[in-house]
Amino acid sequence: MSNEKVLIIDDEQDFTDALAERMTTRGMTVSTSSSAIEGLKNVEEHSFDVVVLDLQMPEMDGIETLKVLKKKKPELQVILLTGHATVEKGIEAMKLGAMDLLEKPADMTTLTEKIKKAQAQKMILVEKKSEERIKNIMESRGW
Amino acid sequence: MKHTAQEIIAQYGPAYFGRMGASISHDIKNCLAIMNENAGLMSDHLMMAQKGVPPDIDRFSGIVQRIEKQITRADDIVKSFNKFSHSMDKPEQQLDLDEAVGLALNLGARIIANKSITVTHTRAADKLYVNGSFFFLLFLIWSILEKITENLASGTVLNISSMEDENKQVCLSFQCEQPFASDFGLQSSDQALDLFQAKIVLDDQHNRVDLIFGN
Repeated sequence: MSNEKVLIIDDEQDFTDALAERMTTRGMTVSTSSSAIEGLKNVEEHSFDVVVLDLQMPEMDGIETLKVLKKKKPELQVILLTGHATVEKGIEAMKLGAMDLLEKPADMTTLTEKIKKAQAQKMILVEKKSEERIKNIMESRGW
Repeated sequence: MKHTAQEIIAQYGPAYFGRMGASISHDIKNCLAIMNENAGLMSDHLMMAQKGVPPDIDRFSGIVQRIEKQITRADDIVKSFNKFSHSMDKPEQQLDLDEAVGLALNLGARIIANKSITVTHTRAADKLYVNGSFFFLLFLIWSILEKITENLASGTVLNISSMEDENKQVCLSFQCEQPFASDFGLQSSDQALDLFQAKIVLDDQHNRVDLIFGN
């Protein structure tokens, strides 16, 4: 059974509750945050593979949150959810490092596949980072 | 310079209609997303029941309640949008001011929520009426609201109250603790003001705006 660690950030609590339960049934470890501020705090305090992020939220929208997330933890994978996906929004999100942009209501099979892909991508990035760190240590010691 | 209703509709109507349509369709999508996840959750539980896991009646009941809540929410949103769509049907009629404020707030709920501003609405004890086009009244209320909230900090509470002033003129008052932007230009809605023979009065502290109707 897979064990992707996922954080859902969305201001609609009835949405996050149901989605979290469905993802948990599919073997994921899921946390939820009802605002961008709460979500960023959650990311600081815990380790996640993937963040499923709503695009339109009060206080700080999904694009702003994405920027902060990628700055703090570049290896963290972000899937954006939006009521209306447009090509412009999609391009902007990808440029900022989002893994994907899905339209609500999202199909669970598609979302699960994207999350698995995102987790695999995160593992590759973490491994690369580790290899670089080891390489740097070896070089600094003249090995 | 006086402007006709047709001129104002042609110039500003599509932009206002589009902005409200976008706000409302976003809210409907959210309702659908919640219903979709809860229907999916129910399907997950049914599959588990088919595999022999005893169904949890309380969980089912909770899911059904969440779906029903969203159906009611979506129905209210669609009703508001329908009223808005018919707001241009009559060029002039007697209008319930508080009903218009309520509808303007419902239509722009998502935009207001995204600004993290709380708008409260205090209704007059007795119904207050103005004469004119329902569409322009909504447009006027929204234009003032949007101008006021442009520079307000998140967490601010803005109150809108309807009343009769000392001269027995119907008045809509927008008030909050923080001052509004000093430049209180309302270009587009200035023309709608003409149609209601209305005027806008900004107080010295710049934290209260009164919309006073002349008709």
